[in-house]
Amino acid sequence: MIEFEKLTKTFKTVVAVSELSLKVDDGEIFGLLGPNGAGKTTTLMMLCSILKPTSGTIRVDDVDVRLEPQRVRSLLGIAFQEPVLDSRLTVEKNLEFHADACRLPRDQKKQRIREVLTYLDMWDSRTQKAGKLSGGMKKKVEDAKLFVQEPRVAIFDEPTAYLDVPSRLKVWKRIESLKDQGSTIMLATNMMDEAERLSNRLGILSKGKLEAEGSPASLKDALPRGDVIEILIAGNIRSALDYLGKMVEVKQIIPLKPPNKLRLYVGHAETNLPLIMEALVKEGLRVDSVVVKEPSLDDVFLHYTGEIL
Amino acid sequence: MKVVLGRDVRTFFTNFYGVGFRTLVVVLETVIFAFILSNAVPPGAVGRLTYLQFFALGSLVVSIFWASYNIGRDVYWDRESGYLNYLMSLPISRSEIIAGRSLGGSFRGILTALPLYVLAAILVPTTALNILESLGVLFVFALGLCGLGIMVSLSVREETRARLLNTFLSLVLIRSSTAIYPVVAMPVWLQVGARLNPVTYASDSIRSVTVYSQGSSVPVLDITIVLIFAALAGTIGSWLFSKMIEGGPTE
Repeated sequence: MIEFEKLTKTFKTVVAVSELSLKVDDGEIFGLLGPNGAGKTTTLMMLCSILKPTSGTIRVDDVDVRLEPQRVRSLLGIAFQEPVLDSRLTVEKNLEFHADACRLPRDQKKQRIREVLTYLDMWDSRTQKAGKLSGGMKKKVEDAKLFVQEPRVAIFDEPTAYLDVPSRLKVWKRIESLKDQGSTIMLATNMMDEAERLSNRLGILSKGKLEAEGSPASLKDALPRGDVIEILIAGNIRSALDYLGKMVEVKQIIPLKPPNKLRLYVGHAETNLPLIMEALVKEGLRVDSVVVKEPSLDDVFLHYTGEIL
Repeated sequence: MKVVLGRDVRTFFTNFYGVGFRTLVVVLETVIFAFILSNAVPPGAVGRLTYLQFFALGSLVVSIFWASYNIGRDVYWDRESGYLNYLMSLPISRSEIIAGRSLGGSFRGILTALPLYVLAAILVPTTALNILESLGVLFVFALGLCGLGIMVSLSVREETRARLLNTFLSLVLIRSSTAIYPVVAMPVWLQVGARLNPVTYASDSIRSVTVYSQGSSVPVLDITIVLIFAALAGTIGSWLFSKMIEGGPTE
């Protein structure tokens, strides 16, 4: 079990993580969800004892990270957000270095590197120098470090950034199988689909604070009942905002990107959508597209933080 | 520690052309430059050696200097690229990282010097034992150079400034020492500088150790100063390195 207790990290005057308290159970995938700068990476760096907390404690299996950092590090592995590879060494040598540092037996090392690189469609690239790889390939090698290591606690920081869709799916499957083998996974992400697909539980971080925690389903259940409508409007978005803002049927409006797209929170889309469309047409506004959705983790994040990821 | 040291040695040889080219330059310098100049240096100006022999032994120190001192540049790059964070996340102690880097730099130096020893052994009558002893001295000196390189690189946060400072310091330390020319050929002010320069003591001790079985005495003072330099620079470099690691490189 991983326990964070009132964990705080400040950099000069900036509070990166503030009084974070959290428990991650053995064998679960815990997702830390938040935008860039929310404090996800800082939290993970403290877990790995790369950064010292300003105050508070972290314990992994009752071992205090501050008191026995090396013992904790022997239990875990981290795949960084930005791939950290020695550009002068080949893909295979980078993974061998990682396996050696984690004291993997020689026969296991060779066999796992081969199996993982083959799985990630990178076996043919094993002799390429890491510096010559594309961004996506580097990211796969970064993730591969943990797939080879199979640590007791695996920490993934944005594991599928830069990856194409087939590679993302492969990495997700592999993370799930790591969990099935008994690893506890901590996953930092700002991708809703990733968080929803992989996490047993989620923590929503915003400006260094844990705003909410729970399973994706329970977090969505906490939202006010209703539907979400996304409308793309051609024309004056300001008048649409003013007009829709006055409608009692519309609970909340969020302007999205592109700038003429709006997200509306309504009670029932079926009954309210015709009223909204009629009103917009009456105002002389043309609607280019309409999408009706179930609330997603995106909406959960908005609900708890007032921000859009 | 073995794994950190192994990486430094392995990455050193990934730059095979660089290492080979540097060795070739030193060999050519010895064969052409030193050979021609040895005719202009009067006998006795460099003790019992000819200038060619003097230069060949001094160039060992110069080669070691470039290879070992540059470990500081690698440490700097590890910090800037985030690789140091990665090393710190591994189940390796901080002291193993520091010791591994210092030993890695020293081994790089010795590996660079090995082919040049062949040339030196051809030019300077010596024994296998003397060569082993001089390698020992060079290894200790290389440890000090690693500390110095790390010290300088970690004191500067901007890459261009770090590179310029490293190049400047390397040139000053090598050119104001007895690695390439004898102290008697220097103006008085430079002689003072040479006497304060650890490269001078390393060069002098290597020359004496390599030929001491032929009647030269053991250079106790020179070796002592090399040891003091290695202890001081190694300690300060390690201290700065550990301070940076404990403070967190991303802060």
